[in-house]
Parts: sequence; C-alpha cells; structure tokens
Amino acid sequence: MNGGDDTEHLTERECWELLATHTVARLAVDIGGQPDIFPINYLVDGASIVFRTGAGTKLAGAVLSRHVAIEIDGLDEHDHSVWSVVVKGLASEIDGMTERWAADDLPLYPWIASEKPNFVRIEPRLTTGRRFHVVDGAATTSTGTSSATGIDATTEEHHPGAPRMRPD
Amino acid sequence: MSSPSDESSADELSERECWEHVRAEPYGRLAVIRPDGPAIYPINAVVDHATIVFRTTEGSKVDAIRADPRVAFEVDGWDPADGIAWSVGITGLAHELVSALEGASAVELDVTPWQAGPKPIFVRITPNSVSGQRFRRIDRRDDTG
Repeated sequence: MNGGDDTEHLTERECWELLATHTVARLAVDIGGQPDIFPINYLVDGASIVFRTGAGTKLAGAVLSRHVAIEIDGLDEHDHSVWSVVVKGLASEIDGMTERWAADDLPLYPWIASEKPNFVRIEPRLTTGRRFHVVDGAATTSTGTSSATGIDATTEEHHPGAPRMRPD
Repeated sequence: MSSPSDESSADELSERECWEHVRAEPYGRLAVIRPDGPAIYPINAVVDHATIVFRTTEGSKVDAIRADPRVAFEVDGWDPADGIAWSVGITGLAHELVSALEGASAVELDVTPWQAGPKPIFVRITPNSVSGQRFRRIDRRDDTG
C-alpha cells in the first residue's frame, strides 16, 4: 500500500446507504461540558435517525433538544479498508410515538431495555463519511469478539475491532 | 445508561475487566466537545499504564482537545456465539505528549495508526472514570442488513 493518506470521502448518499444497512451506532453527547459515548440501536426514518432512551435517565437529559453526534464504522475485509460515517444534528423527542413503534414492531431496541422509553429523532445537520486502507503492519490483531456494532455479524472478521487480518 | 429491566440484564464490569477489554481492543471512538456540539471520531489507540494513547495530526480533533481537554473514549464488542455484548466507556482529560520523556516513552508504544499519512501528534488520555457493562443483546433481528 502507499505511504500517503488515501482517505476517500464518502458522498452523502453513500453515507446514508451505510446508515440504512446498520442498526448499532455510538452516540456522543455533551453532559455539562463532559463528552460521553453510548452504544445505541437506531433506525433510519426518512432522512433522520431515530433511537430510544430510557425516560428520565442521564442520557435522555443529555440528548433531548441538544446537539449530538452518532458514528458507525466497519471494515471491508476484501480490500482492508475501514469506513466510518458520522451524523451530527439536533435531537428531539418524538411525542406520541410509543404505540406506533410498538405496533409496527420496528427493530428499534436499546441495548438495555427500559420500561419508559423516549423516542428521539436526530435531524441531521451534517453527514460525513470516509474510507481508507489500513496501513500495513498496523496493530490490528485483537480478541475474538466482534464489535457491538454487529457489522456483518455473521462474519466477525468484518469489524476492525475484531480483525484477524493479515496485511499483505 | 438506563436501568436494566426484567427484559434484559446488564452486569457492571469491574475496572480490571474494563481494562482487559480496552487492552485487547485497539479500535475505539473518541468524543470531544466542539463549539457546535459533540464530535466523535474512530481512532485506534493503545493502553499505556492505565492511560490511553493515540496518534493523530493537526485538525479538528486536536483543536478541540486544546480548547477543552475533556474527552470520552469508548470500545465495545460482542460474542456472536452467546450474544453477550460489552461496552467500556472512559472519560478523562487528554493532553499532547510534548516533553522529551513522554515522547521517548510514547514512540515505544505500538500505536501505528491504521490510516496512512503523517500522524506526528501523540495524545494521552488520563482517565477519571472507567466503567463498563456486559449484557445480552436484545435485537430481534440480525444486524447483518
């Protein structure tokens, strides 16, 4: 591989294609000036991101009517490229959606169930993505567990967190 | 995060278990606060004596850290065999390694970035909180898309 930076910027369309085909992201929030990160399940709904939190939790307080960012990423084993997509936007509560979501049985589950969920929508302000090839010799060996992203969950090698990669 | 209900269960990881996960998992995400809100970046990092070290270059990440050193770092994973997922979150203060001693120590670390191009800046995160959870994923569908 070359020694320079081969980072490719993904188009917004490519970003949303990746977002639509994954379900777990990391949510970055600002809790009184302290950043924090939480894994979440999400859905793409139209041109926005929807997820749920437990009502009244620290996380709910940090997202409602606040600016947030979510990130997904993955590894394409066949060409040793890593990609990531970040969506930044304003999060707001969806009112009266609980019954609708439950009825539709949409696959929107938090990692930890909560009896009183808030449904939250992120209206994207900025969506960016990039892809680059993993540097030869980088320390990518790891444990056998897959990323919680569940990216290509049937083939656990597909996430950079769990590579058994052999750089050429 | 939210409290576990009967529908699922979560176990708090011990700090030792958290560090074992972070040590074994070189790939995580860094969150910083920027003027327009939180930002999150995938990074590969290493553990060095109960701190997190990563390499980077000039850009929004470093600008944000210089403006406000409060950061978060997260790694996660799951075992497809038993559906048990884990997540470790670290919050702390980030600073650039600038002294000769720190620099000499850091170059010994195997922090080759996955992304090519110059990455002359070493950053160390000194944690003030390390916490993690282990839980059963409750997805009712596969994530394979």
